Amino acid sequence: MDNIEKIRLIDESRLNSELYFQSLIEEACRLGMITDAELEKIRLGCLELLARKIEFYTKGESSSVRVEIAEMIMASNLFTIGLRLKAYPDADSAAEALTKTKIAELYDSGRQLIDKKLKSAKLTYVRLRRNKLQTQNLAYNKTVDADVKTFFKKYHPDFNAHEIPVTPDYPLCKPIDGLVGIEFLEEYLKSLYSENAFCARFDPNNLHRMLLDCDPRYPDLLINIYECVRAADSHIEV
Amino acid sequence: MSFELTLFNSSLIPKQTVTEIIKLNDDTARYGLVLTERQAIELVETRNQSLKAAGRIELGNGIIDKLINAFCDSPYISLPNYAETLHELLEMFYYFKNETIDLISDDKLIEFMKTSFDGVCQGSLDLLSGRELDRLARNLRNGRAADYSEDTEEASGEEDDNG
Repeated sequence: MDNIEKIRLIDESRLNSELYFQSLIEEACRLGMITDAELEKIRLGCLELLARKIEFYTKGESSSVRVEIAEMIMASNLFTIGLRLKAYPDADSAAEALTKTKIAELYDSGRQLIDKKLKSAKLTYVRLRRNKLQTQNLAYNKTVDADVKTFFKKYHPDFNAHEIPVTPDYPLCKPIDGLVGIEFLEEYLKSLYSENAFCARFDPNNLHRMLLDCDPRYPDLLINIYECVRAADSHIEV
Repeated sequence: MSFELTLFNSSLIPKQTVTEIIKLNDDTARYGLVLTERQAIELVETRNQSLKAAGRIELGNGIIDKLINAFCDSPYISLPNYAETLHELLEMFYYFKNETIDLISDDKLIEFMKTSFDGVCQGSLDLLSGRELDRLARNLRNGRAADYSEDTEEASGEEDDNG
């Protein structure tokens, strides 16, 4: 009896992590978990939210915007709501929340989540910088010194929450797939920090030698330092 | 159809918008200007078409009520040309929102249109669109003052040369 699990209606593997809100709605509608009347209410909620955000965007000076601006703001809103929905224990609960909670409320708590994630990402970045490797690899240095900073500077959670304003050059050992906006950066920095922590155990001169062994042209290449070090670590004593 | 597309494909004419336009008759009647329900619906249709043509989206009541309030006391508008003028002003408004690359607020654009229509254009919609608004858009796009005039500049230049 202890092994009885709640039957879930939505198959989470059918949901898109980048477009979570949209895929959840489509899946919930397909399974009859959202009625037509509820869908209409959600749609109107999204349009009311868009109107509120357009007013904020134009500082109340224009009642209309170009279609591409409206689409950008709408995509940002849906991403933010999706972030909140992902925080529910499972997709069924998230679909239920869509029918019971106002869209504006879901958005507002999603927006707070973005702020929390931004704060956490900034903290990880500070720790990463403190532990930065001494290496000649240009992509690594550019990413740690500039790309991440530019992301923070250009990321606009109110209107472009779903975008990655700067894609870091430095390739991770395991690339981040299926995430956008602050979710992407948060995961990218977490992985980079972990890789970095491993590599920081090595003396910079040793690190340099290991990377040279990996590829003598390593300063100019888009290589993953962690991968090279892991490969070399099995042969070289620390 | 995906959820996002259904959001933008709504071309409904909200009854509330039409009712609000009709309600403005209470104020404009003193200038002898009133719109029928049919005319109000047609104005909303023109608004939707103009927005589509300009590649813009508007949520809420929009600017029909603002245009009516601004232009109802114009000496160049009377009942026979009232609705027709509003249609043209609406089309112009959204076209020039784009032409001015959104550098001017709704209220300022309407104010400029009204001042020019009643002033230098003497009620000519062609002059308003083809000359005054066109110049305004060029000035704003080039970072000049809204009322900058090349003619005036040339004239003053000639005076300087002669002087």
